[in-house]
Amino acid sequence: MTDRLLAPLHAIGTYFILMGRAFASVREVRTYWSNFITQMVRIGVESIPIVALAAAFTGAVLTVQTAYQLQTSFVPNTIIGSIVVPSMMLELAAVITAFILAGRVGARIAAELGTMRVSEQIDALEVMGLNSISFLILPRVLAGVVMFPALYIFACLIGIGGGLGIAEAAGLLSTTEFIEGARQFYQPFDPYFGLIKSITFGFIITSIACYKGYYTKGGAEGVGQSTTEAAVQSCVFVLLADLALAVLLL
Amino acid sequence: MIQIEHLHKSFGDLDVLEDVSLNIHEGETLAIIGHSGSGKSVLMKHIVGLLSPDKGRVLVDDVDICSVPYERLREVRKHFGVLFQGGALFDSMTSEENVAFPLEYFSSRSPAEIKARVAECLELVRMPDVGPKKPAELSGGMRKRVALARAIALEPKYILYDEPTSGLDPQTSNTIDELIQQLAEEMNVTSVVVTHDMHSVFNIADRAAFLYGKNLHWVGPINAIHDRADPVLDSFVTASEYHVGTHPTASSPS
Amino acid sequence: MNYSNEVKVGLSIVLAVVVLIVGVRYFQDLPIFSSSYLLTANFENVSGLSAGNPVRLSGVNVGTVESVQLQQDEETVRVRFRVNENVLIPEGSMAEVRGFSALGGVRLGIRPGPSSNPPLQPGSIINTPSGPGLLDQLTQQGPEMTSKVDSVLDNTSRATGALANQMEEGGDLQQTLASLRNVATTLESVSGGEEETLRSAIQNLETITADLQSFTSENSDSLGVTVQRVNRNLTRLEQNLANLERTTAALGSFAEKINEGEGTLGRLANDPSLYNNLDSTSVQMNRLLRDLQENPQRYLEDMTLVRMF
Ligand SMILES: Nc1ncnc2c1ncn2[C@@H]1O[C@H](COP(=O)(O)OP(=O)(O)O)[C@@H](O)[C@H]1O
Ligand SMILES: [Mg+2]
Repeated sequence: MTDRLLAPLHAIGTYFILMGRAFASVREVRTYWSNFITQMVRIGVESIPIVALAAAFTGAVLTVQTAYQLQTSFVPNTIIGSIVVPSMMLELAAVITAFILAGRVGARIAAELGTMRVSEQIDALEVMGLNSISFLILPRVLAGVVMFPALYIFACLIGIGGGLGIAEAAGLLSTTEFIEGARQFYQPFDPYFGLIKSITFGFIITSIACYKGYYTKGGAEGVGQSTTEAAVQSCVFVLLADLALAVLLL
Repeated sequence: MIQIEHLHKSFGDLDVLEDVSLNIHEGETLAIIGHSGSGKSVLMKHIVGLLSPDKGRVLVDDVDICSVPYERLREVRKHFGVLFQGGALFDSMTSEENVAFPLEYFSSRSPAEIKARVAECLELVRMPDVGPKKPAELSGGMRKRVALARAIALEPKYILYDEPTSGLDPQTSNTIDELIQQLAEEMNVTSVVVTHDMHSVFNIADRAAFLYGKNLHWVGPINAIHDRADPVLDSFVTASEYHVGTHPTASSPS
Repeated sequence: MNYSNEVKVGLSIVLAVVVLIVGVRYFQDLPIFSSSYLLTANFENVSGLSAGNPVRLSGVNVGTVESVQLQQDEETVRVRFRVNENVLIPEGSMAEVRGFSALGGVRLGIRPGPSSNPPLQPGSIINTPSGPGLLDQLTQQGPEMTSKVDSVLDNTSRATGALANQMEEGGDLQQTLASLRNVATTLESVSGGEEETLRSAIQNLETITADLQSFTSENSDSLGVTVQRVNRNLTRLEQNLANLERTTAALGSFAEKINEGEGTLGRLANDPSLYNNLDSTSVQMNRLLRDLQENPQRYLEDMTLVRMF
């Protein structure tokens, strides 16, 4: 009974100690540099196409639906731009990116590290005298923190572009009206808030996946379980962090 | 010199080791034998600090690796080469890259010297042609040999083998046994071989330690393994010999 | 297409940073590669204007509102806004809030002043339409203006009259000449400095007339423009009056000096003949000059002194 109650605390403690140990070795650049580059490609560069696709459709759908919702009221067309652009910048670009990458990156990291754990590759690293945490975890988390903001920026660009494109193509409103509306309500803090979110999400997704993967138990089944947990829990914590940031910073 | 003193280890409710003490001498080849699940791998992982004991301690060259800081432990580990049960090759890398990996991180060799050393190690395990292949393209025995090449790349003082011959055909098993012997003789390493394969034990070991019922049931020189009146050890050894059947010592019981 | 990982990562990050910078500037409606400058306007009421709203000049977006602050002690709202570097706003331009906040279309409009005016400097304050209407201002300021002009003329004639009197009575010539010189320089500097202002005042008065004429025309916008311009002209006139007042003050202090002085100058202060009109002033001036022409030797010994100044 007490074990059940203590389990979450044990997990939280283990997680933070793991992250602490990862960042404690942040100066051992030589240990993780090449992995860092590789992970930035895997987490960031290779995610650009899927993030772009999702962002383009999100922007387009948001624009069409906003236009539909406003079609009977006496508000100018520009309002559509005023709704779509801040929505993308404040929320959608960051959250859509995070959800896609929770599946794509989170599951990948958890499966990778989990397999390394159950096939004793992590032990092999340790036995060689390498710090496996700084070698495996730090580069992945750092890559997430660096590449998520970049992906967020692309998602904004492409999402807004998708909205503009569909607005023009479907004759909902002109590009000029769209942009005018966007500028009307543009708050300089919006994109920076989105950036803060994306950095947070990047950390949450990669660190939870690393934690789940690194402490995988059992064989193939354990890897499967870690992978699922990593994807699900990072989505949950992304949503919680989203709310927390909105409450704290807006 | 490795000294294991009064080691206790349990996982949750499961007691695996209780009061295990064992000395491993310089230059010898010690076999740790026992049934599956008796805790051989657990004992071996304590020797390199991958697991820490609940009670007791492990001294490697008089350093208590259970209480030293992590950075110091890493230094101690550099004297070890470990061949894991499944090889534990990094599957994102080719065989060559696997063998080169410890050299790149822990030696001051130039890229050319590393290349030469990698070729030398692969030659030694009689796998000179698998360099560009990834672990997934290799058979189990090949993987173990490449892993052995990686374990010896930095010329360790101690080599730990976790079931080096399990799951291999008899011919490949013999090849591995020969390699273990060769390394022990040529490089004068101290070897610890975890196995339940008595055939291997008779081939390579100087001494044997029999793990049974949470502690060491019997420790002694390999030629004394038949000169005892111990039903437990006897049945373990006999079962192996019956299984192997063709082994010279098995065909000439004393 | 086989770039190294470093190149891929570097390219992505550089691209992201460029998109961020360009995008942020784009949505802030700032020119992407040049900078902007800051202007301030004080309003009584901004009708819902807020930071981020566009600034328009002749209907074209030229910048954004940076901040809107309520100055409670001064009962005004201070609006700071950025204008693109390449857009020059002439002095005498007006900033005003346009649009309806209910529709979200609030913006800061700028009515350009005469394009011949020099441009507003960064950081300066741009005029805003002030409260009362044209007629109110005219009725308020009409009598005030008249009385001010009156008092100026009064003072001038008083001073010159005093001088003339002194000439006639033949008092301390040396001192009189010095004082005379003072008056002359003051007058000179006044007329010199104010020449430009006076001319533009007259011009502005002309535009007022023109505006008033177009007041009746069907052009709906001209009413507003007219009020603006008249306002502006009144502001200018006020400035002119201020200058005239300064002149008066100078003359006044001159008279004070005379009051404080001894002998004949002291008497000047109490002389009832000081209250003369401008006409008589010029007559007396004429007389003084004639006297100078007719009896040069009378002033000769003091001429060297005059030259010394
Ligand atoms: N990390 C672990 N967590 C929990 N139980 C473990 C762990 N490692 C080993 N065990 C348990 O300890 C016992 C001994 O395992 P092991 O030493 O691997 O056996 P073997 O002698 O076959 O190598 C087994 O029952 C195993 O389930
Ligand atoms: Mg084992």
